[in-house]
Amino acid sequence: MAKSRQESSMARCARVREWLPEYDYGGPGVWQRWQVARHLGCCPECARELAGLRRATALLTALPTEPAPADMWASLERELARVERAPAPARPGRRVVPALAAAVAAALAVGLGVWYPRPEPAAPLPVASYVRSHLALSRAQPFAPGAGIDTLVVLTAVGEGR
Amino acid sequence: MSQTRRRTPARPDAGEAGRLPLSGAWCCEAPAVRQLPRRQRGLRAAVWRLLLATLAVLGAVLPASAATPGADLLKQAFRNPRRVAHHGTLEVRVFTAPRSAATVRVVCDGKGRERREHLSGPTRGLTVLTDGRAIWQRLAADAPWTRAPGSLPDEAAWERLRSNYQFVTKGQKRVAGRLAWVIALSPRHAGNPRQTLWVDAANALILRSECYTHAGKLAMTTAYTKVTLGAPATGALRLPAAASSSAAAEEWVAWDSRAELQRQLGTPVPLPTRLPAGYHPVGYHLRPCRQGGQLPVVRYSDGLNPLTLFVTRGQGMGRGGGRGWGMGRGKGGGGLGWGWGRGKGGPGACVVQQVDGQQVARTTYDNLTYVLIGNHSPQGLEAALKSIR
Repeated sequence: MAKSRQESSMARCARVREWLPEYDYGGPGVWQRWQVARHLGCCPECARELAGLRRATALLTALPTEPAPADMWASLERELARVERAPAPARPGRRVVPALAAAVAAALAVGLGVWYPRPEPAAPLPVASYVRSHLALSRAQPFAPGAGIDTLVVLTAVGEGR
Repeated sequence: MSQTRRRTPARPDAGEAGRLPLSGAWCCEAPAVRQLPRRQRGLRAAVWRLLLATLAVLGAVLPASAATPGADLLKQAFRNPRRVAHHGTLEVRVFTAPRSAATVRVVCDGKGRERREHLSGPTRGLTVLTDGRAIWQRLAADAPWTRAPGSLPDEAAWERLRSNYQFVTKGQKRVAGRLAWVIALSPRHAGNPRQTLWVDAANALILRSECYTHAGKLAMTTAYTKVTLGAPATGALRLPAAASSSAAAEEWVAWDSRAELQRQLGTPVPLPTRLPAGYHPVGYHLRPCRQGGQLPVVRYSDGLNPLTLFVTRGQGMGRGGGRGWGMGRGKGGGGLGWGWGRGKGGPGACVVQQVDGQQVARTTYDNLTYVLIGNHSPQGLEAALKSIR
């Protein structure tokens, strides 16, 4: 009984989490929004998930947008002009439309490639300094091998410069 | 059933109504019959007495076996560090990256002060001086002293050690010509490191030690190759002047409780609500921040193994780190360096790496970065960081 209740609770969490990304943007629907709001009131895990999503969104929003290459639109126009100058085929619509679509798709792909924030490795924290401080504090423990930790403290301090 | 009915009237003077004993003969027999349960009761009582006596004997014997001379010496060594006046030479070997070996001259006055001079190895020239309350160190004879806070063990620390570790006496061995009890400290909770100590049978001086990583690999050994008992020259143990120690000091202000720390900071700091089993906060500090102000540091201990939690401002995880990216547990293992591993980047995620034999776990929460460091399993550190409220 308890197991089935737990499973139903997990299923509810899973369903609500599917709706969470749209929750702040007027989605997914009135009924679903009411369900999400009701669930968030009693499920700290899902509330935390939403908070995490909001933080991630805030971070992405704060990212500087890089402008697209200046000649992107010009090249698109040149491509369009070239298509227009081409001899009219028997059934122009069938050739021009795919070419235009391809050009627009290519331009969009280039644009997205420029604008989309690519995942990049996190900048390393100066962890060695924290480790050194931790080791320096550890020397005070009664059974800590003081002389050995002295060595580590100094070698870690040297490592900070690396 | 019918046979029972036939037999019952055969009893002498048994009345018809309910076959109650009515005559004196039956009454006289009755106590004799009822003595059987009494005998049983007596037997039972005797068995109980025997059991209780056995338990009492075991109770008297078991603590005696636990409190072997080795265990008593261990307690003495824990509660009174640096209380044996001696000087000698110590060999130190570090097996986690960066691997190293050093020879250290140790001088102790038996009143809490100790001086360690590194004579060889990569730390040659290093001198460390401590009185328990603080630790001074200088990299060379002409270098300035720096100071770090120390701490003196209390009764609670010993109780923590006793409840979190099992002491197994493994007999006696000779170290530097002195007889020592070999005592293994095995953790009762998973994820913690073990340690083996060789404790001088005469005075509880730790003559040799073997420290292991949480994964059971040998991390470090220290062993006296030569030791002489007796008070050394006092000049070697003179503490540096206050002026010279404060110039490049790590002056961390210590506070008694989390409430006091937060009062000093002026803002509540969310901290882990679930620590690895057996750990308790043992120190609250404020450290100066390069950009101004102060940042909290919390120390935890299970009696033997320390963990330190550093809290810094900002999202220290780098921007844009999404799922599947970030610093993680590299397959390369120890040493300084950054490897792509199982960690997840981005805010709220927890990443663990190994630096100089220590596990370093970090996460972000409410625009603060938490770094938890210690010789403990990555899972335990991750779980602690995920419980931050």
